[in-house]
Amino acid sequence: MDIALVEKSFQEKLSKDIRVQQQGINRFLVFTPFKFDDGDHFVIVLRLDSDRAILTDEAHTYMHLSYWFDQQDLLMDRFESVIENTLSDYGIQDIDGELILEVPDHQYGDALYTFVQVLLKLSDASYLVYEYVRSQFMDDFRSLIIETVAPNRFIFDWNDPTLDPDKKYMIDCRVHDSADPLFVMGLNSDSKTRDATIALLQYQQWGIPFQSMAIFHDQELINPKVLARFTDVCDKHFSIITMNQDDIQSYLSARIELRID
Amino acid sequence: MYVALLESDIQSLLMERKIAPENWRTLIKLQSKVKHFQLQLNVTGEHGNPFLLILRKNVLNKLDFSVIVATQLENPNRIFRLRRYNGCSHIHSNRLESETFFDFIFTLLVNAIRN
Repeated sequence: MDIALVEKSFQEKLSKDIRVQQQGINRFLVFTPFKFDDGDHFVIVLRLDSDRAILTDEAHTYMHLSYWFDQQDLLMDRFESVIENTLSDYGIQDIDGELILEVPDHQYGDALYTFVQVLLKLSDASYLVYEYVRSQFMDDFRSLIIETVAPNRFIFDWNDPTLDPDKKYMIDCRVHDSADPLFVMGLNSDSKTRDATIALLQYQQWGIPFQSMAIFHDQELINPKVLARFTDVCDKHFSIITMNQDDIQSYLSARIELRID
Repeated sequence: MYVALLESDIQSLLMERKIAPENWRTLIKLQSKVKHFQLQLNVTGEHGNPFLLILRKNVLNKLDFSVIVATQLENPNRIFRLRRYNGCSHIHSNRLESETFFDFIFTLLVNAIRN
């Protein structure tokens, strides 16, 4: 096997940034730009076993997923079916936790393409765990509003029934007061921040008078360009919900007439 | 309720001397989890804070291991990860620092145990 040709095949099919480095006998590390959300790149090894070549993760993927499951097997069970279906769809073997794909007919590039697709999907499984953890932020967001604003003064998950009957431009919380309504957004991801930007811009385009406010899960985790575009359209934002609770409540109190039961 | 720690709190927890039990070597018996071993060791810091050492080691590749130093929060009852150290088995990229490397990060762990 000419490893240089294999590397070239990988690069042609996937990315020019792929490199292959021998580490051990008949064992080659495949360095790719693909990684988990926490910055760890996928572990992909090209191994020669007798007369066949295989791609394997050497059981790293499951170990990595366990970082976020925190030994809570229940969470792992939730995604077990997702994992099994993914492996089955792509013809990946799971042999005691090691993910293996045999390279057919020297189709190294195609095999790597498939293997990376699987790892990307499985990294989505850990993304689902992230989402589970991050969803707690929205619970906290709602709790903060409930603690601060009288029940008849706000509504969660609001949309304008006339202008937006299809609910394409959702507002996490609409707070009513005697002046313009206050649109309060809870932001915990780049995609959520982009959606909020679009929603606020759309209401501006419709000529709806409102004030806007955002509470971030952690502003530092938002892509700088995404954040910059959002702050261009948002009147007020708080960078971290846990660090700014008092300020958030003070701001809300100052904006509306309070009546806490 | 979501909890975050101040950077100063995190630094304080990291610097706090963690007192391993005298028989800690016998306690480090990794449990089999498919193709990796795993262990959680509870230790108490000199200021009384509870810490966890969560160790994982890949059976197939001994260089593929991780050690997580975490603290156990009481209210809410959650594990807060302070540091994660990995063996030299994969590339890591730090987006904020715009750096990528393929190396070990284990020195701090050794110092923590000695302390």
